Amino acid sequence: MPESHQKAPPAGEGGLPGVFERLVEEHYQPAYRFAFSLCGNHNDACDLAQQAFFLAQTKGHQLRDRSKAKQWLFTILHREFLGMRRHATAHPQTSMEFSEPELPHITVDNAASIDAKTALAVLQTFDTNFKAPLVLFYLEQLSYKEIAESLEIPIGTVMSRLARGKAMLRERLERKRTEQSGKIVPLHPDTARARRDG
Amino acid sequence: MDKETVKLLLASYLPQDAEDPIFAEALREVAGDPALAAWFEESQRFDAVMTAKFRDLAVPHDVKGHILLGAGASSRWSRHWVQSLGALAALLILGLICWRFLAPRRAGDALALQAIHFTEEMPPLQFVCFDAGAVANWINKQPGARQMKLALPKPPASLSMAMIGSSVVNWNGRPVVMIALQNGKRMAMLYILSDADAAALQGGSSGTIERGDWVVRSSHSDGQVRLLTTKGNREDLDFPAPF
Repeated sequence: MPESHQKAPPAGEGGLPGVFERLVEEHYQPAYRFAFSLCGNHNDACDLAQQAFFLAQTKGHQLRDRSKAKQWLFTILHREFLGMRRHATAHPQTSMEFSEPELPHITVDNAASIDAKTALAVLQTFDTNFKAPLVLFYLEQLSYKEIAESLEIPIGTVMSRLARGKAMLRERLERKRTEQSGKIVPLHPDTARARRDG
Repeated sequence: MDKETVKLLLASYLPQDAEDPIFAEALREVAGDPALAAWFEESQRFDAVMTAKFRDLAVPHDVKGHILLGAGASSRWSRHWVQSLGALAALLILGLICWRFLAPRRAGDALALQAIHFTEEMPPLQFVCFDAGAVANWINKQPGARQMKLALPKPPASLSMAMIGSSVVNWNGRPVVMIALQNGKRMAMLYILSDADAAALQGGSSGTIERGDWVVRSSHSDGQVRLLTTKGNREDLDFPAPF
């Protein structure tokens, strides 16, 4: 269900009168989804969201524009995720942007037939540089400017990563779909064509 | 604008961005190029599908509780910190109020305590006489008391305490008239000093205090402060004042 369609519990049902509790009430779902998209599992996502809200609570005075509370929360969450990842591995992940051969893209109809769990699993194979903008774009419908603010990266970088990320997503979804259907996926269309012709 | 640039730009396009000038030229290119238009339409459909997919991600019920639980320690600490600050502020305010309103009382108490201390010492009377009028005359002739211009009317016949003598003593350089009163075995001392001297001695407020075996009633009238002191409690001071 889209976030905007979800109603906050009425006052008294849950008794969340404080500013912080309201922040949690309003944004815990998108924050969790973003965290889950970054981490790929419930436990880490829960801890990451918790840590982000914890920091938001302690840094609440830094938020000047309450209308940007969600973006601000995403920024904190993303920073924390990057920090956690730096601690988790001594070697930062390398982007697969240029290492992947060009694969066929999934069609819209085939994409529609893939279940959400599989789509999210495919997203987990992405480097954070591409995953984070894609999640904010698809999940939260944030504009490129809002994504740039949330992730603290230039607008041009956001646009570039969204374009490349979408292309990679369509490629990997297609590969996943064909794997699931038992088909052999050619490494490269030209290679496959050459083998077939030759 | 070449097609690759159009595709790069429009990959960031959301329906609510239709008015954003950064997309204007790219959208114009799309409108004039059927191949680009087809690509764009298909791209928009793909975006809609993926948005729906990602939004299918259910948020477990325990997430909010987990977040609030994690923040709870900080929240509790913050609340505790704020409460401590609040309590400290309240104490400071209370202290200021006490200082502001009770300081005179404390000073008055200081004067009363001086009276108790002086009575405990029981200095010898300079003038001993059971005639109240004679005592009053003697007092008015004393250098320190003359400046005080004590108005000592004759005590009423109903006065239960008899005047037995007087002294003019010195409290930190300020003249104080001391009058000894007696009723049977009970003795009392009445100390009289001017308002100005009482103020200089940081006293002058009215009231009754009890300290140990002693009780002092301070009163204020006619520009004078009077301290009636005796051993006992408040009830023991319940007799008509001689002046």
